[in-house]
Amino acid sequence: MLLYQRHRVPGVKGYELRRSLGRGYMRVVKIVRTELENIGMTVKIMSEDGSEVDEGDEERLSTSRFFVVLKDSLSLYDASTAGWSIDDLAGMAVTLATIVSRRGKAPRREVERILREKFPNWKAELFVERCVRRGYVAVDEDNNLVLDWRSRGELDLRKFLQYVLGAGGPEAVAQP
Amino acid sequence: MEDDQASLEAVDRIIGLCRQVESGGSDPFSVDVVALLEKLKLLLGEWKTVPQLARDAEAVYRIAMLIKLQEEVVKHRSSLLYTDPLLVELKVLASDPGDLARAFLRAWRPIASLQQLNLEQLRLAYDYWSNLRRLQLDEYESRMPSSLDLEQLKSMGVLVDEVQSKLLEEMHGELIRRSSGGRMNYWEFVADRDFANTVKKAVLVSFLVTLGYAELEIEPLENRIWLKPKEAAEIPRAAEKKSLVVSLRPQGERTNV
Repeated sequence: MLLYQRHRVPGVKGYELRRSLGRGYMRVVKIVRTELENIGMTVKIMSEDGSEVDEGDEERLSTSRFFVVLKDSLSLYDASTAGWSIDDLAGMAVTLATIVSRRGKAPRREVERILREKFPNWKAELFVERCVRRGYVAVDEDNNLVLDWRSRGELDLRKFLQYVLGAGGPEAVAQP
Repeated sequence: MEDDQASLEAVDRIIGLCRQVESGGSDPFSVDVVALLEKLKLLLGEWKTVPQLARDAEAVYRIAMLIKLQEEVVKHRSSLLYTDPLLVELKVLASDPGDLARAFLRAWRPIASLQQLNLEQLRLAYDYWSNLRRLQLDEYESRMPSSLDLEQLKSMGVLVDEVQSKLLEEMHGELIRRSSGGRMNYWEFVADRDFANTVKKAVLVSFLVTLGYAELEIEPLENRIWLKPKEAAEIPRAAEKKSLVVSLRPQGERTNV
């Protein structure tokens, strides 16, 4: 249940787990998490507004989404094996860093302008389009780009900005 | 007259400026809110008609939204996520794509998910397919396609005459009376002396909900549906619009799907 994808969104809601596993479903989740951590994955719980959830708060757990993420970061080699090129990842980094630094919302033309400084026109538009299609970014009615659920689920936004500001430094190169 | 026109244009400029900041993501502190309010205060004496006052009210509303935006900015700047956007932009422009990719990877924990069928889903699909009613094509094969008029569709039961508003009003009144100002169990309300009347009531209730005279509250875990009447029809702008399928069966047995 944790791994299956419903439409675009993977994972399962707390109340669905309770329906299938009973009231003590959190005990099962903890056991599954321990098992998954042995193979480099973990269970993440995200509330509807994208914030952290206290695992003792039954009411919030009920409406939160449970899904599986990688426990550790990927190396560039692993990411490219999984089909992500350096340019794809850099494009994502530029797009998301621009949005996060502007309170989670940035005009699309502004993001594309910054992307064009590093990539050709067609690629700049393609990166934004991909971020939208993959659920990292959403477009509001004023054509602004806003963070979507997947960015909050997969990225530690605070650390991400720190890493972007420190990109190219000695610490960044010595990653695991 | 010309003065009025010039004053209205000034108000429009204020509205436009606020909208631009709101939608453009630029710094809301770049706008002098006090000066804008002073200007509106000066112009207020000139307004005589309702449209002029409405324009003035819209300008005040836009300024209020701008102040709300300023509050959000202050909150964001005091949070751990705040980093100067210009600094981030400069860093992004100065960095090599490889370094940016590495920075992204350090904070990224991609979701693991499966996008394939399992045996359980295959079994469900097989059950669904087996239970599908067979389409009887043979009897239509000899006939040529033809068109049906509205009367024929009504006689077949595909279309019905428009629901009378009097019936809806009666149903709305009954709901208000029986719920005593609170909410009422859906099934208790629609259940009637026989199956035909129950179906009729369920249809009328669906019209009441669609038109905004009542709202449905669903408790999926308890499998309960509540009906809450409203005095006047009202559909909130931000309301989530979705369809609810309710299945009715004779002999008092009912399930919602």
